[in-house]
Amino acid sequence: MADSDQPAAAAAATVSTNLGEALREARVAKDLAIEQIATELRIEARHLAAIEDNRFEQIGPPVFVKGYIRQYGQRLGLDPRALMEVYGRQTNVEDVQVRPTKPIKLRDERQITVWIVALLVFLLIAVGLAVWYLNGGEFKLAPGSARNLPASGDSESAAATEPVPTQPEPAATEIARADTPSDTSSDTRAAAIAIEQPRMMVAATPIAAAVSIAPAVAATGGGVSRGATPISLDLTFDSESWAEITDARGQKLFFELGAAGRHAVMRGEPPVSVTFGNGDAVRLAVDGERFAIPTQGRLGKLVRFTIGSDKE
Amino acid sequence: MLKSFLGYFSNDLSIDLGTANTLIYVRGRGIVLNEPSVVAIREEPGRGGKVLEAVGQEAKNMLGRTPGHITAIRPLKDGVIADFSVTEKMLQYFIKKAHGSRYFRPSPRVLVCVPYGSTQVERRAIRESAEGAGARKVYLVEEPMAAAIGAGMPVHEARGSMVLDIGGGTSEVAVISLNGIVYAASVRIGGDRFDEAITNYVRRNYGILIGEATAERIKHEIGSAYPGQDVREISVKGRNLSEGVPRSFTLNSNEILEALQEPLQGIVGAVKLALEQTPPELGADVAERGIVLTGGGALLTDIDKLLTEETGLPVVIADDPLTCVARGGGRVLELLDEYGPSAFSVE
Repeated sequence: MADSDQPAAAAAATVSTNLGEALREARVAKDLAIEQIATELRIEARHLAAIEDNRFEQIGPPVFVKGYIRQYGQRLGLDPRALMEVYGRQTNVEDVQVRPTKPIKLRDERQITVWIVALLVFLLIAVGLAVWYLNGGEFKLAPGSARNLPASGDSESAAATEPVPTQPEPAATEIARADTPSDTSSDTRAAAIAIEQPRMMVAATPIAAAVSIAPAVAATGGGVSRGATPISLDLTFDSESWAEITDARGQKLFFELGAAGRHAVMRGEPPVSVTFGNGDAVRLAVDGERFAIPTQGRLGKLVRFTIGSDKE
Repeated sequence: MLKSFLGYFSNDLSIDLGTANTLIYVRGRGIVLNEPSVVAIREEPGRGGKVLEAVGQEAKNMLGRTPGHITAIRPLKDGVIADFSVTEKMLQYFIKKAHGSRYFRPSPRVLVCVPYGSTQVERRAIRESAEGAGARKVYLVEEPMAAAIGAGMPVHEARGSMVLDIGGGTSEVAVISLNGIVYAASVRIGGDRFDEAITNYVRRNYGILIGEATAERIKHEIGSAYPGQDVREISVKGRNLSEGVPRSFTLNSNEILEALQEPLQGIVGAVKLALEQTPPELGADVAERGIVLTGGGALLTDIDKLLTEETGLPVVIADDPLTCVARGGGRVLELLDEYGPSAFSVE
């Protein structure tokens, strides 16, 4: 050991500046070959050579570099702690940044949820459209809410409700109904409704009639409503067809399958809404006059139209 | 943004619950606690049974020196919990010490390292005791994985890395590649067995009984795993079995080397078996760079030389080998938020 003290001390002086050079000097001073030390320490010779050339990054992760330097230094009689200090100064290699192995995602899960949401929205729209279509192209409120009043009910309610069907606003209908118990208020309200809807040219006539007639009706205390002149409808079925005829009060005048050759006559207050399952199979006469079944707006053979809404 | 905000309030702890020492690493603050896993319990029938007398270093000083009403025990044995309730108390004390008891602070998420070979029952015991000690969420990671990450090994590469962690109760050898354990084995040989071997050697050859603490001191001071050039000596005191009185005597490092042969050969055998079982490609990778030693056992003088000699591979000792597992656990905790628990086979 004694002979190695001198070169070790000399090497210690250079340690502070150049780690690889210091190790090389110490090794040469001891007259050792890299291969000899490599066999002894079982560290590959190229790693030791890389340390002597200060090419630390070629060896691998710092944990191995430091380990090799410590062992090499120890073998050459240098203080491993001093070597580590120089190593720390000389390199700014950080420890290995461990990363998890990322699995490859062939289909992004988030995308799937987006698709599900899109599908739900689409379904919702489809259902909405279907409802709209089945309702005949318009969103109706619960049918009969305003119209299901008894046709032969007391005159007050009849007088008050008569103008209602022509009004597109259900709120107004509700008001009219709510007011029925009081004669005078119902009258004024009916009048108010008439004023509110001045542009409803059709409505104007019956409402005016209602306003003028209502007191009289209340006084006489009965009789059929005089809101509008009932019209008569003649149906002649050339071939089988479904027919649905509803008058202004919401009363179903005809609601069945008409057999071929059948003839039916009915009366109802206008406007009367008509639905024929097979528009070409039915002939219609209104008040004895032949009524041309409209060809526009048909869905296949199905035809819907209203009589007396804007003709009168 | 939110994560860093929440992270500001809550501390994540990585715990190396070892047989000999418990270490706690706090994210962003490093190792904050390193104490022996020893608890001293005082019997107090008046106050409903057992009271904690001391935990950690203080309790360790009491080992083998306690009066009748105090028992100093090590609640972990061979890397797993031997006394559940005491372990829970100890963890509670350590977590409180490391985490602080500031108000308005959520209880910490805790990652505990478990030995590779531990059973489901043992894992559950560790998980429950950590939960009982006040952890909000408990993650378990296998010790060799944490040790390799803590040592700075490139575990994520498609390249074999062999790590040997010699702890107090167990030694674990593992070959890791792509963040997963390819081969691992755990032998119940560690620092404790070294102490035991020294105690037995002294009794057999000198007829003198020494305590656990003395045996550990001998190991630290003159213990070595490979014949060195210089022979060191230590003077110790123990009870002479035939005379029955305390006697002083001197031991040298060669005697301790002889005493340690049996447990050392057990570890060498485990490493050799691991090399035998490792797939050839990974074996070649290990041969090129070498084996990394971590754990307190790596501090035994010349243990790297012994392993180099026995295996013919380079063996390097990690920086600060005692804290590798706790530091590695801390690193896993940091990555947990980013990548989820499956990335490092965290349970």
